[in-house]
Amino acid sequence: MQCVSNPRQYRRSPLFPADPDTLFGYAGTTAMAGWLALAVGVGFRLPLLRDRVAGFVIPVALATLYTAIVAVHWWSAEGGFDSLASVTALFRSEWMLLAGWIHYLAYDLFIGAWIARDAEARGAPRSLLIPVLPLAFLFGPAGFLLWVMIRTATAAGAALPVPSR
Amino acid sequence: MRNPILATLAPTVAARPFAVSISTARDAVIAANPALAAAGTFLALALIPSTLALGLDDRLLSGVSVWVKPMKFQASLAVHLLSVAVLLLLLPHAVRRSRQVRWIAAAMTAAALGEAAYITLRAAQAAQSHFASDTTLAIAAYQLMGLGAVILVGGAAWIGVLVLRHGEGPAPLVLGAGMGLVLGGLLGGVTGFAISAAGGHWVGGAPSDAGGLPIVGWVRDGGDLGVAHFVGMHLIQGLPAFGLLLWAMSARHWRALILGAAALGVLVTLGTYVQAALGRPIW
Repeated sequence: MQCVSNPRQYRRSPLFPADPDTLFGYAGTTAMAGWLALAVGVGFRLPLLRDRVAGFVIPVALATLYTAIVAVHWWSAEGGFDSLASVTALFRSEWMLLAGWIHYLAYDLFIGAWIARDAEARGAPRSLLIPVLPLAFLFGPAGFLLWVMIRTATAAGAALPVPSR
Repeated sequence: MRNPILATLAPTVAARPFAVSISTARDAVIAANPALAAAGTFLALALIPSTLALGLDDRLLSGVSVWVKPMKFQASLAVHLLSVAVLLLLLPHAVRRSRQVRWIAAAMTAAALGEAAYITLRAAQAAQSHFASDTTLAIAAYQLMGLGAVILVGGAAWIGVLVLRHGEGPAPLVLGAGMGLVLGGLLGGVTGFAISAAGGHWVGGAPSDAGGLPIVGWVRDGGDLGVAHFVGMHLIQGLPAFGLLLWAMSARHWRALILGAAALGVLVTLGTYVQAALGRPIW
C-alpha cells in the first residue's frame, strides 16, 4: 500500500472509512436505530431495547466515536471554548463539527432513554411521553425541559395515578 | 359537611385563614382533579421559558412582542384550570369523581393545552393564531380554537351548574362558586365570541397593542373588547372569593349580597362591553 505522503489525504478502508461525510452517515444511522429501539422499547415495554440498547449501548458507541475523533483531530483544530468566536473557529474544522454533532446525537438519545426510565419509575402514564420524546429527538434540551415541567406539574413524582378509594 | 377534603381543610381555614400550607392546598387541588391540576401547573411553568424568550426576541406582532400573547394565554389558562380544580372541591366525592365531571375536566385540559401549545408555536413563528388568514391550515386551526374556547367556558359553566345543584361546604362559598362558574363561563364565552366576530379586540383605534395598559394590554386609542372578556371571565374567581369572605365574616344577608355582586358583575361586563363597542377606552 502506498505510503501517505500528503497528511491531508485520508487513508481509506472499507471497514473504517475515515472521511467525515461517511462517518456522519454512520453516526446518524446509529442514532436513528437507537431512537427506534427507544420507541419500540417504550411502546412494547421492552426494557432490553429501552434501557440497554437505547439507554446504554448506542450512546456508548457514539461516545466512543466522539472520543476517537476528538483524540485525533482536536490538535489540528483552531479555537477553543472560551468565547463564541473561539467556538466558531473550532467548528470551522469539519472534524470538530462532526464531533459536535455526534455529541448531540449521543446525549439526546441518552436523555431520551433516561426520560423514559424516569417516567416508568414515577408510574407516569406512557402517553405523557408522546410529546416529550419527539421533542428530545429533535431539540434535545427542549425535550428534557418539557419532561421536567411535566413531572413537576404532575405532583413532582408523587404516585401519579391517584387511586380513588 | 360530608366532603372529606373540605372537612380537613375547613377547620384550618376557619382558625387561621392565611395559614393553610401550600402543600395542603396543592394536595387538595390534585386530589380534586389530577388532570386540571397538572395542566394548570404546567401552563404556569411554561411562563418561565416564555419570559426568557420574551427577553431574547425583538420581533413584534400587533405592536408588542410576539411573546405577549402566548404568555397571556399561558397565565390565564393556568388560572382558569386551577380555579375550576379548586372549585371542584365543593362537589361531593361521588360527583367529583363521576364519569361526567372527569370527561368535562379531560376535555378542558386537552383544549387548554392544545390552545396554549398552538398559540405559543405560532407566536414563535411571529404568526397569528386567532384571526389567522394566511393558510387553509391556519384558518382551520383558528376554527378549532373556537371549539376549544367553547369547551373551556362551557365546561366551567357546566361544573357551575353541578356546584349549585350538588355543592356542599360553606353555603356562601358554594353559592358564589356556582354563580361565578355559570356566569363567568357564559359571559366569558359571549364576550369571547364578540371579540371573534369583531375580528379583533380593538374598536375604532389602531389594530395595535402598543402603549396598552401593562399586563392586560387594554388600548387607549379606542374601545377594547378585552375588558368585558376579562371582567366576565374573572367572575369565576371573584364571586367565590366574595362568598368565602362573607362566610369568614359570618355575614347575615350573604345570599342577597352574593346575588347582588353577581348582578353587579353582569352589569360591569355589559357596561364595559357597550363602552368598548362605542369605541371608548377605559383608561
